[in-house]
Amino acid sequence: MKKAILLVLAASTLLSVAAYGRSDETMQNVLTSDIPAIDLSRPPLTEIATFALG
Amino acid sequence: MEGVISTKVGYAGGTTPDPTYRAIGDHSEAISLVFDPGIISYEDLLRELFKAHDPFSPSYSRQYASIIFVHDEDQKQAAQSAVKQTEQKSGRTVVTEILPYTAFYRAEDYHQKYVLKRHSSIHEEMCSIYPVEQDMTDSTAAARINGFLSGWGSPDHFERTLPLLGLSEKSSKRLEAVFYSHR
Repeated sequence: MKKAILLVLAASTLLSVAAYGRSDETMQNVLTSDIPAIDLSRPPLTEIATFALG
Repeated sequence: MEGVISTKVGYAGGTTPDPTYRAIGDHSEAISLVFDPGIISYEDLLRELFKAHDPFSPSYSRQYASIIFVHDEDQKQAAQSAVKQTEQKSGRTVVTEILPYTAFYRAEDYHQKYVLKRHSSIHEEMCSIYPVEQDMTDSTAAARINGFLSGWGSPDHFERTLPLLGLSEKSSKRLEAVFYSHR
C-alpha cells in the first residue's frame, strides 16, 4: 500500500517538478513525507527558511 | 506547525568546510525548514522564532548565535521588519543577525529528531516505516511527532494529525499521553 502511495506521490511530484522546476531537495522532502502536508493537486510552492536560535 | 513540511538541524553561517558537532569551526547551530507558504507564511515563522528563543541576549559563542539566514530579498525585508517590530514592542535591542544564506551543513544523525529518539518505542516504529534513517528524520511525520512529543501544536492539530501518522495503536496512545502531559 505504501509503495502504491509513494508511486502516486512520485508521479505527481515529478510532473509538478517538471512543470515548475522545483529543486531535488524539495522533491525529496515531498517524496519522504507520508502525510499530505501539501496538496499535490496544486503546484508544490515550498520555500526554505534557515534560522540559528542559540 | 501546520505548513512546515520537514525540518533538519545542522550548521550554517561560517567558513569552515564540512563542520561537525566536534569541529563546528565558526559556524552556528541552525535549523532548516521546508514550508508551504500557502499554509504558513515566512512572517508567521519569524513570529514563532522570536517566541521560541531569547533574541535580546548576546550569545557567549558563535556556536549559539541568534541568526536569520535569508534566502532572498523578500525574506530579508520580512526579517528586518520582524526585528523592528520586536524592538518596538519590547523596547529592547534585538541582537539577532540577518545574514544572507550561503550553505547549510546537515548535522550528524544522532542530533536529528532528538526528542523522538528519546522515545524508543515510537522511534523504533518510525524506523520500521522508514528503513533509511535520513528518510525518517526528513519526513513530515517525524517532524510532527518530534514537535508533539515536545508539547508543541494545538490539541485540534494533534487530533487531526494523529490518524495520519501511520503509528500503531500502542504508539498512538503513547504519543497522545506525552502530548497531553505538556498541557
